[in-house]
Amino acid sequence: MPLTRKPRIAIMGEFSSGKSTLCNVLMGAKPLLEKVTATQLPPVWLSYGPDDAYTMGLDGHAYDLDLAELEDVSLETTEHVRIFMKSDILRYCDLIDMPGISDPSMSPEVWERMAHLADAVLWCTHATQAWRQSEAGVWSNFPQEMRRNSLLLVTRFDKIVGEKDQAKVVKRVTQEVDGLFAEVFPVSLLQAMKAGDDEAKWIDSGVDAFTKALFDIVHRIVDEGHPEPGDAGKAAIQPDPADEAEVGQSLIAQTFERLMVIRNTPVFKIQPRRVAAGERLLRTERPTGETGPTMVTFADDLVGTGDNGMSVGRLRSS
Amino acid sequence: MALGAVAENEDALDGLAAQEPEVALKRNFPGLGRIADAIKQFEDVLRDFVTMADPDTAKKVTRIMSQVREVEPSVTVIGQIKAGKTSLLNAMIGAPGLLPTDVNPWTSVVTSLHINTPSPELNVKAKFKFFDNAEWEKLVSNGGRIGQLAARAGADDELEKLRLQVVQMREKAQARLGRKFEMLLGTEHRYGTVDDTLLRRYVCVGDEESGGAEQGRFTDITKSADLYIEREDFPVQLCVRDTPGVNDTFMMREQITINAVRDSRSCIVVLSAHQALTTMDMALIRLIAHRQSREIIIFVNRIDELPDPANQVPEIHRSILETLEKNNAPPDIDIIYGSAHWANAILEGKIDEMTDDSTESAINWTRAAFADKMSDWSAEQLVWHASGVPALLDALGQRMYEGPVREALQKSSRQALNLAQSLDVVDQVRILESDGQLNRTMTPQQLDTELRKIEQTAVEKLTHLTNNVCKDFTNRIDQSYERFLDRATNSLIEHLQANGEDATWHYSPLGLRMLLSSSYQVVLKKMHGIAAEVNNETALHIAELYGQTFSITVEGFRIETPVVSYIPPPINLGQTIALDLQVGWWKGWWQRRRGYKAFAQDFNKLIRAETDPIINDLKTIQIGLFRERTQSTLRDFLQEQRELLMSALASSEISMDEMKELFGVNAWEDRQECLASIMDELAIYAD
Repeated sequence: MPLTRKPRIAIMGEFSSGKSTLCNVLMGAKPLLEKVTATQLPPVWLSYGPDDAYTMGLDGHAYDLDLAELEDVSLETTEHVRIFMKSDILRYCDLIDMPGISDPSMSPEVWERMAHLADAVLWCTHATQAWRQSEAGVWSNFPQEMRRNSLLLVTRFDKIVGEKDQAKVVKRVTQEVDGLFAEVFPVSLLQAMKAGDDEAKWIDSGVDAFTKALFDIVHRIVDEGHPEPGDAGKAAIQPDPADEAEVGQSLIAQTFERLMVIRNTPVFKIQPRRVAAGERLLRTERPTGETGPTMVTFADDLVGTGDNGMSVGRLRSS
Repeated sequence: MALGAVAENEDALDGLAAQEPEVALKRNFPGLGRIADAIKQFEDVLRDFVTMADPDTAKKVTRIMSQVREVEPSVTVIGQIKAGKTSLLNAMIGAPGLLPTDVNPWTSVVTSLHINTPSPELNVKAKFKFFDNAEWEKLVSNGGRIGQLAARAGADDELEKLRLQVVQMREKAQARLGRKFEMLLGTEHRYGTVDDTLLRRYVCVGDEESGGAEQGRFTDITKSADLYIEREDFPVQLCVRDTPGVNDTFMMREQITINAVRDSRSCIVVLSAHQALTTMDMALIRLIAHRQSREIIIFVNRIDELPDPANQVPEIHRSILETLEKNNAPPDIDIIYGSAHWANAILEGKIDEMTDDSTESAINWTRAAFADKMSDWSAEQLVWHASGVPALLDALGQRMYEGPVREALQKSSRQALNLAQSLDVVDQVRILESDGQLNRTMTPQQLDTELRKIEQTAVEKLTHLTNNVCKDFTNRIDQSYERFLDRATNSLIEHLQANGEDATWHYSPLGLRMLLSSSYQVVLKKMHGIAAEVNNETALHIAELYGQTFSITVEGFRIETPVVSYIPPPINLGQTIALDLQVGWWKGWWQRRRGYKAFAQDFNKLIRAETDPIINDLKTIQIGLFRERTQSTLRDFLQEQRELLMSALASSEISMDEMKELFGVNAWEDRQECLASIMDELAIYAD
């Protein structure tokens, strides 16, 4: 049965590999902390909702959190930080921004105790030192089922100069992670952050291709789901309806809207009928039941096509 | 800084490419120049000595001189894969592109670059040594040390991966070298010239598609490469070692690097600026932490990739210092920030080909770091300094000057001084003899007997004292080790009782490491003490023997004691043990155990298997090394003194009159003065 809660996507990687930048790119707005040196935060769990935040202590109690004091959150007593925001991406899935691995001043336990929550992982690896043993070692401990739903992002890809060198890096990394990730995406997250409304720059940054893959993964997780206690009879999870204020503010949101519309649009897949030699295919001939149109999905309601001026037609053609 | 000045410099950046790169480089070898000066000055003193000495003595002085000329300080560059070690090394020696680099991990052989050091074999400029059968067998049969470690920790995935890597390596070697490639094992290839194609055949990972079949052909079976390069602009002899990066997914190479660390006294740990100091870097620093902190330099490379180094570098610096302190790293490690990329761009005259981002970062950083030089220096100079390479060379030169160079000069000057002293004694004997005051009391046979007595006493005492200290040390280490095991096992059982089997238990090996390390420091100090005691005593005995031989007392006469040469620190002490591998293997080990008893027993076995080699290394190799060094120092010293005394006795037979005839009366007095001034000058180096 399909998932009845939102998929949770964990962002992982070595410290300073661009995890927080990725998080910010996905969120489109309201940046979290970001530093070159290791950010000393417990896992940050981001969900859709009116602005609110709390810290979940290791004692099992939740404590109010003022986001201005995010930096003061104690690693010793906090299991995770939960932040609610009205960000478009969070309408589709939850994000868990994990602390970096290989940080000598942070015990792996800090993220290990949250790892089981994740349905998929976006793993960031820095292009100039991409995919090292310390990363491979940690990733090999994650459940194998997660591999086909997880993506490897080769970040700061703009630091590899020249197409030839870029191709070489992608080739090596792709070979090395064969079977460990669904796909590898070279990205320049800073470029994506700076892209604003410039679609060409956005595509050029590699983030466009990656977000499309992310959309597929999010919905594959929903569709395949897995039963959890008390799920029986519940409806599959649907994205939160867009708050007018946020809709389409970022290119990533637009991409997701677009893909959602496509997903919710009935699609007839016509499987071409084999034509035996000499056989004439009559235009009037109708496909049989086996080869006929397949109804993939019906949408009861189209989400997010209300007031932002986007029409289904335009979306489909672009 | 006024904007105008910056703009000017940006203009200057464009026009500068054509300048001779060597100019900048030569100007900036201050640390290395100092070594060259010191050696040259010392050689001048020895040359003076040669001109005034008799042929026999002159020969001995010349021998000392060539010993000084052979001084080749060395430094090993270590770091994680793709930190930019090879680029940095090329920049340091002012030869961009000499060692091949690539965007993917590329260096896979320990490469020693000998600059200005004469090759030990005539016409051999490049020597590639292959693994011998035993080493290869060890690598391919169980994946080497890492394989054993993985096997013990029960890390099946890793083990399987290693096994695959080994199979691949073997297949690759077979494909590249033919089925009988194993015949090559244990042999060497030598060449009379060094060029890029040659290097790519032996030291690069290789890329079949773009590099052709020759690239990386011998790499898999090559253990080390030695290259001899002459560079007129380089002021000294130097050996720089490049190593394959650690933390490679191809785990086989890691152990090669770890072994190479032992060969050099100084180490440069190269980090990448975008990621301050990872657990992997800390593990590397731990590995070399048992040398003095003066011998470790951290170079934070790739600051050219930071968008705002002026603000980010101080931030990175704070974080590195914090991490080092938290992890009990040796204090006062020098940290230098820079970019091999910038340095190579300057050296190649290609700063106008740098990307905009890189140029902007360079301007940003020079403005912050060299604000006072902005108007005086050319853009080329600014970027060269911003690259951190001059600062690195300076720091390195300083280390080498204070360490191996000073030590070599000390050792040689003491030998020369003893030579001069004995000449002086002979001269005094002649003066006394010509005055008719000399009472020669010993025959060569008697002298020989006396010398034998001294030699025997000295060697026996050294052996006896060393044995005692070693016994203490061994006991101490064994006790610490057992205590550690007991404590850890108890703590494990307590954990199991309190938390059950599901919660993973952590126990840091730091305690054991500190115990071993401090025991080693203690024994090291004691051994040095013993050596000094025996050497000093022996020197006194010999000085007395001079007096007895010639029945005279010469004012200020003393024998200089020999210097015990440098003992490389134990490397194993810092090596990863299963407990360090908190994340992966340890967890797997934990999950596979059931039952308290199994836990405690297996744990004990696991740690014992991990630590036994470390303990053995300390007890046998390290102590053996010390024993060997102190004994050979003493033996050489005794031999040298025997020769001096015997020849003094023999040459004192030549009378003063004969000498005066030989040198002329005035020349004789000159000789006395000369000798005195040479002894003064040598004394400066001896302390």
